[in-house]
Amino acid sequence: MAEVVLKNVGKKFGDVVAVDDFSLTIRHGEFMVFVGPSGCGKTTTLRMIAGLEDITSGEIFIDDRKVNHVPPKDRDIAMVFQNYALYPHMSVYQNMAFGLKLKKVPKDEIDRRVGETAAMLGILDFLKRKPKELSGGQRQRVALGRAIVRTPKVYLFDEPLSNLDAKLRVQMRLELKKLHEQIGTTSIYVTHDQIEAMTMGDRIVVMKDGRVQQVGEPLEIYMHPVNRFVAGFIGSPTMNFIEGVRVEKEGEDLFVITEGLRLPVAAEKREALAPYAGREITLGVRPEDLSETEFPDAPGAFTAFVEVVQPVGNQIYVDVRVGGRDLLASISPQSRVKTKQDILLKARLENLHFFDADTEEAIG
Amino acid sequence: MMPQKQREKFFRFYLPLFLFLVFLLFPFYWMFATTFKSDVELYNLKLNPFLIHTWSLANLKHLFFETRFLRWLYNTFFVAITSTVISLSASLLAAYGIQRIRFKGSNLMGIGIFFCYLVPPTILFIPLATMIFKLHLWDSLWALSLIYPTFLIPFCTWLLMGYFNSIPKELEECAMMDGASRMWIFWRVIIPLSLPGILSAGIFAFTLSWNEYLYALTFISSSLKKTVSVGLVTELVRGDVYHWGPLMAGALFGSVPVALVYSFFVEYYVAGITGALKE
Amino acid sequence: MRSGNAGGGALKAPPVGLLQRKGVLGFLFTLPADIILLLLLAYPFVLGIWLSFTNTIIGRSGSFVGLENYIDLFHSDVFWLTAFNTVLYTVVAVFFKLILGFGLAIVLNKDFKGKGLIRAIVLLPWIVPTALSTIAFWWIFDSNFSCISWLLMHLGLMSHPIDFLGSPVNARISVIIVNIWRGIPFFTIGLMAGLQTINQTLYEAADIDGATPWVKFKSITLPLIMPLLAVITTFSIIWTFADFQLIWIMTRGGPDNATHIFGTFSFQRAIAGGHLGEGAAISAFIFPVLFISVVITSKFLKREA
Repeated sequence: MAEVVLKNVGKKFGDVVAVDDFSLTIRHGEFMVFVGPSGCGKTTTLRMIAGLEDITSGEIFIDDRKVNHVPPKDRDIAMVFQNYALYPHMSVYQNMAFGLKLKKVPKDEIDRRVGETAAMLGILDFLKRKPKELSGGQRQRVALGRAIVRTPKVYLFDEPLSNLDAKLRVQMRLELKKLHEQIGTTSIYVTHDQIEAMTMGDRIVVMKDGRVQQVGEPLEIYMHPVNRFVAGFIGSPTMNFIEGVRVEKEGEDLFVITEGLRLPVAAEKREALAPYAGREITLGVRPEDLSETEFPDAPGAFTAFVEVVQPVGNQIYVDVRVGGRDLLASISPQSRVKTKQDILLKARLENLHFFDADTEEAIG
Repeated sequence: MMPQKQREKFFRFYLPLFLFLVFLLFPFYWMFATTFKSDVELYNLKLNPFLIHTWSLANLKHLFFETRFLRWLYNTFFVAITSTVISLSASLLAAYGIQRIRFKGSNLMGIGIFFCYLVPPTILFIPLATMIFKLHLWDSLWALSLIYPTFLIPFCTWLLMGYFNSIPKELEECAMMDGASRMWIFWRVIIPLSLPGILSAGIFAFTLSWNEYLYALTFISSSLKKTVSVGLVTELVRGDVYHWGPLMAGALFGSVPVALVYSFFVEYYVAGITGALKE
Repeated sequence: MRSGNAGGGALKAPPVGLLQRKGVLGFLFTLPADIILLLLLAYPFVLGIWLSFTNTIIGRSGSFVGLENYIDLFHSDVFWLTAFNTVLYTVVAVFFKLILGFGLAIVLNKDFKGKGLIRAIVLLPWIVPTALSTIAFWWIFDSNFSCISWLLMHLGLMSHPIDFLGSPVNARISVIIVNIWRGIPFFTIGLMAGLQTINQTLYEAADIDGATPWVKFKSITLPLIMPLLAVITTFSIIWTFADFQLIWIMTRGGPDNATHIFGTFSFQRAIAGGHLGEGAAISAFIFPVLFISVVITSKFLKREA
């Protein structure tokens, strides 16, 4: 159990900046997720914490100890790699025991720890087998077991589920979360999958181009993204963005207007948006915040033309056209909507997101 | 003092590499240096032999004009090219047959051909000598052209088999569904796609052929028909007199064609070896 | 639904042409190679064994003499010396080729500027015709004018030139050195290819597990490269054991038969001496090593399959 602190950590490969000014405190026992698209620097940061990459600038502390020049084996960490990195010529037992053997842990102690871990992960029957005899999911557990058996202060995960098929991934997510609740060690988890981030993290760090975009609890980031990138990255299906939306003031009220849409601004957002009156902004609205309505005069209601209807089972995704733009709405499965027809939609006004057209930062 | 990391790098990398390179390349420098020294300088023990003090083309003149070197060069080329062509043709067909048209026993045949590569010339040269003599191919370059494929075919087949492996089966299946015959697929689809592999195999065959000595020494006796290796060793040493100058010149210029071919196609050569070994 | 026989007689599949049958066509493709290898490799292989049991000499076909050639050889001191030389030559040369070739492969196994060029240069001793590079070494090892002797004398480490090829021990060392020189590239390039196939993250996981470079080599690199190493070494053993041109050019098997190996001894008796039967018998002693090599290689190949 340990606290991991990153202070202004940066990484350069030649002239290329991979990570820029990353500062973060990961608390004791927290499950922290680094999420972002490929190349955003999340894996590089993880590897710097592990000691597999040199730190160009800044400092990293594990449990109040500065580890910039400490080799990986002395940092008291364990890592689960994307391709598991299991030693192919060694048995499952030997794979798990390797690190302990190197630390000269006595044999019966190794036996005990490997046995307990294997039991916890349900791989006791495989101890004598070699990795190539195991399925992807089983190999993943062995990789996990190898990390757990070391009882480190911090677990590092480098996209461990991305090589599994979809169903297995969902199952493993659950198991990993349960494991964390059971063991409770500080964990840092890297993924490009925002669903994994949302479901697993105590807190999430969203990264792009080597920089931290936002840090916070999943729901917080979902409800209050600080910029357009985060808003579009988190949440599935992706948020709808409408550019060139004008802010207009009518007396006390503010409206955001574009072709086919005239939406009133909720009271709590008025103050932040007021300075933008007369200017254009980018409007963001999540598909799940658009619902079908019967009342054309309700605030936030508008007509749209249905292009594609995709029933998913628990929702119906409707691809609509409004004033020359495409929007995706996620509506009730009971809807009788048909393609090539008009539909009456209503936006949940308190969940509208506004972004500065130039800086792309959230307004309010 | 150098920082620790740089010092480590020096001892772990630069120094060993330097030593290896000196060891591996020195003989070539020595060939070169000796070639261009005058005879007088060559046998003058007072001079530093590692440097050329007076450049001289006398050795080259001797080599090219007073020996049959150019003729030997031609002979070696002739044998190399003919045996490469024969081997490549046979290997291409065999590799395709084994690798793609999997028939009963194809696996065994593949392994059998592979093991042929292990059979050394020192086991075969005596029986082959009797056969060559009976076939009246004694002292003929064609004897070599026919015999060299015995060690060229196994390797080329093996190499090409590995290469064919990398061509997706779907391409052929698509063509077959369109009604093409195996032969057509072979000529029009496989061969064009395998050109890099064919190039690798061809270069390998070429260099292996230049390297051969025992068969060339055994089956060829007249001076005019000798290959470069045999000619240089047997004719530039008369009794106890070693004509080192021309000998080195011959060694240098005998290596040049192979080195040239190799330098242009190094990538293919290395790819060939690594591909074959992966098999 | 009516049965399909309404039209009168079930439809017959068109006869499959002989050339369309997989078995025949595939076999035909391999025919040219098969013919060449059968006639010029398999047949001489057997013929050689037969010849060793005859007293054939050049110019006159011989008759069956049973084990006479072999018995004569067993009574020959030169033969036993040759056998010893061959084993010594093979064991020492292959050992050093392995160590040095592997070492060079490890040194070269990182990305650096000019890697392609260095790799190409490293292969040169293997590419260049052996006879020609052997001639160069012949000159380097000259008893009077060797540049190595010159250097050592110049540095004051020696007082007279080394007689590289004139004394049995020196001659053996010299030919072994040349063999090593020529053979290193084969090991290096082959092993480099093998090292590349080892997943780099395995080493990173080992770093985290606390492995020193030696442990990483012993526990990861060595086990994983063993199959390839075994095959490469086996090839090297058979080729070194059955070597000819290097020794024939440098020493002709001398001095005093100190460097004769089976290949050169066989040539001397058969071609220079004319005793084909006897030469074939000598060559026959290469068979056991060939056989063992085949067995070992196939064991490793099967494991991969």
